[in-house]
Amino acid sequence: MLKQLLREIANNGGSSHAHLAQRLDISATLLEQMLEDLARKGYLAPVMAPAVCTGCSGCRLRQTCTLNASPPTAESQGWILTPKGRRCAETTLQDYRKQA
Amino acid sequence: MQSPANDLLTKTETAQASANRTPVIALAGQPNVGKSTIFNILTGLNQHVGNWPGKTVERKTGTCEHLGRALTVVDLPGAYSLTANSVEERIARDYIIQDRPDVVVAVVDAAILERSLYLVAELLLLPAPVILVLNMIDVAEQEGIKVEPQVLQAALGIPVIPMCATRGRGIHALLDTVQALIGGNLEYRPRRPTILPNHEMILAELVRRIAPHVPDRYPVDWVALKLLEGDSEITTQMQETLPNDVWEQVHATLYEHEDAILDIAGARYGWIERMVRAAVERPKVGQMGLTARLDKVLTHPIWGMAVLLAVLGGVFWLTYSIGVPLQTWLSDVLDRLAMVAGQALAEAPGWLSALATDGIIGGAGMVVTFLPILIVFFTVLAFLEDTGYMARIAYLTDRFMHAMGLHGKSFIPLLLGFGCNVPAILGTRIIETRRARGLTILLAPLVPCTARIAVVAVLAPVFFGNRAGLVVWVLVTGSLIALALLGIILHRFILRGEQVAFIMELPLYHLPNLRTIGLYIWQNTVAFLKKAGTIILLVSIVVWVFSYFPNGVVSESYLARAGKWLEPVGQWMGLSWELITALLTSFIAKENTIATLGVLYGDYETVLPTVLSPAGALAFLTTQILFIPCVATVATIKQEAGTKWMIASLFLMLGLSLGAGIGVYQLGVLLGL
Repeated sequence: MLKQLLREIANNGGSSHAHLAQRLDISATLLEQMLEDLARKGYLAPVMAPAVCTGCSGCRLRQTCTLNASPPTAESQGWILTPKGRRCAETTLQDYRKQA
Repeated sequence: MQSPANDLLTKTETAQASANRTPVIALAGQPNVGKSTIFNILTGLNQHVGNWPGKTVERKTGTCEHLGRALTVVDLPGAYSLTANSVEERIARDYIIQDRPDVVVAVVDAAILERSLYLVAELLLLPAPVILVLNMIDVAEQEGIKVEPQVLQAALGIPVIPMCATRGRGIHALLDTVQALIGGNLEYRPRRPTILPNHEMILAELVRRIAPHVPDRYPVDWVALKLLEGDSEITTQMQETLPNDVWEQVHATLYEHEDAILDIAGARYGWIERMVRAAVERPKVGQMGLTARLDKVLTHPIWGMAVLLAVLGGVFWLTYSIGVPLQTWLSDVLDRLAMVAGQALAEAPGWLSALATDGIIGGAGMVVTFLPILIVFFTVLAFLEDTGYMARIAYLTDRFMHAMGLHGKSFIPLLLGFGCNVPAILGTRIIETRRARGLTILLAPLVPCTARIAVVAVLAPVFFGNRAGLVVWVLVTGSLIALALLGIILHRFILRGEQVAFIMELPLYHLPNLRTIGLYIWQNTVAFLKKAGTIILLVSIVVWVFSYFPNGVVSESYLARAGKWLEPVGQWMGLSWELITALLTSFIAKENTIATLGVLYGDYETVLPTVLSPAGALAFLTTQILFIPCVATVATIKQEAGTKWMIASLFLMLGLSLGAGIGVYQLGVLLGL
């Protein structure tokens, strides 16, 4: 299930939590827990707003941007794959394609 | 999953094991699931608080009786899993493996079942039967979540007890189930998570290799699984235990299957999803629970801050409207007691009478009058914590903490500092980075603790009468402004570094448990009275001895000589040697300021306004509230951060308090105060 989640993030990086939960057919709470677990294990890294954008003024997405929340709650936190996570996602994707 | 350790545990073994000794129940669960409430209900006052051997983590044990049989209850530290991620998780699993409790009661929050079941999945692998307590079932209902205990019991294969601990519901059912399980009268067939078939083969290979070398206390299957999961502690232990050639083979297998951890953990999440799908019915999309509705206001950037300011204002209002009148009444009682003691000892030597009335009653006794103020504060803190509002305070303050290079997580220990700086320093353990932790430790003593607030709350009316409330509010706010400014300066110029992202968990709101609040107040009150009866009493007597001898005249005493030596520093703040001495003795315990003033001035409430100008009084109170923390806090800083941080903290607070005191006095003089 965690590998499937990594694969989803690798394929659809910017997906919202709601979308990811729907894709995996799990509850949002469980998804948040899995994301945090992957981060603890070093496969994902949390993203803070300054790392991905230079500021909110003039940004058309600022009303809906979850990274704008301070502090990030479980629902609003953004994530990126770490090199370890990327390696694992690629291997998983290859295995998945072979099986498919 | 993976032929678990407690498959070996038969009903007969469980029954036999507990037949000859007091059965032990271990309470396990995540933080904030109501574990301590259940522990308090089960044990009441029959509890002992200490530390886990070799650790600074609190260990609570107690006893209870059910159907004429005694039970020992152990409250394990809050843990999210049983992997060696934290000291709490290591303690919990080591206890279950090595001490083998008769029953593990896994407490989960019914409203966020997914979050708690991962721990349960791991507990089911350990050699002790597990009972699941579905706590906060009322909170789940209030959030529109319906949990079916019977369905969950059938799915898990272990006893499931619905509970609302805050109202005492479900406790008897739990004890009945514990007795039945210990007595071997209950079927126990847990359904554990499974792993992929290819990993089962790897696991079997690992078991075969390590089995002859695993210490007896550890279940071999469990150790093999933890190796595959990459558990750092077990890996290190096995590396030390296994012969080199075996370790190399094991290590090669683990390296080859580095990502097996994802399959094992992933299987547990799959298991959790199945359990929850079977037993939990969630509200329809768009339907909002009570917590979400309340949080729309309470975590709103504007309305949330308004509520927070009102709450903090309410705390001080309660302290003044309830605590201070009671403190005044107790003070009058003490005056009468001192008079009675003086009359009773009229025939005794002069020093003995003076020791009893001035040293003991006037010193340590005066400190006991703080009790009402402290009780009000402890009550409010316990209430905020037990309702879930404390986490919202951290959330709201996060944006301000960023200015100091910290985040909301640092606000929680700082908030605890209002109770006592010692738990505030200990509470910084929740902060991940050394830099942020060090910065929080340096700032924590600037949060005025109950003792400091009580001292200024007692002294402010002496100088400022009806305006005392305003003065105390200014002093407390000033302390917090000093904290913020110092934090910004340290962050920008001295302790520069990267901020670490973190996710804040906001627990669901729930009704507080009066018993938990009562016990919190009781434990803190007893601790305060113990301090008053030991260290403060001792310091009072020592101060009195130095103020009485050599000839019974205070102004010619040894204390007067020491105080006069420091008088030049005091003069910059308009303070006499008596007040400087009172400040110095507050290093032992903040309350000693009052005790020392009581010893040196006798009726200080009458004398002080005649010897100190308003500017001097303000300077004294400012220095008092910012002065170096008490010796217990200093010792805790050394223990938690080391000698360098302790020295830095001491000099920082000394410089800041004296600087602020001098500044306030000089400004007051300029303004003609």
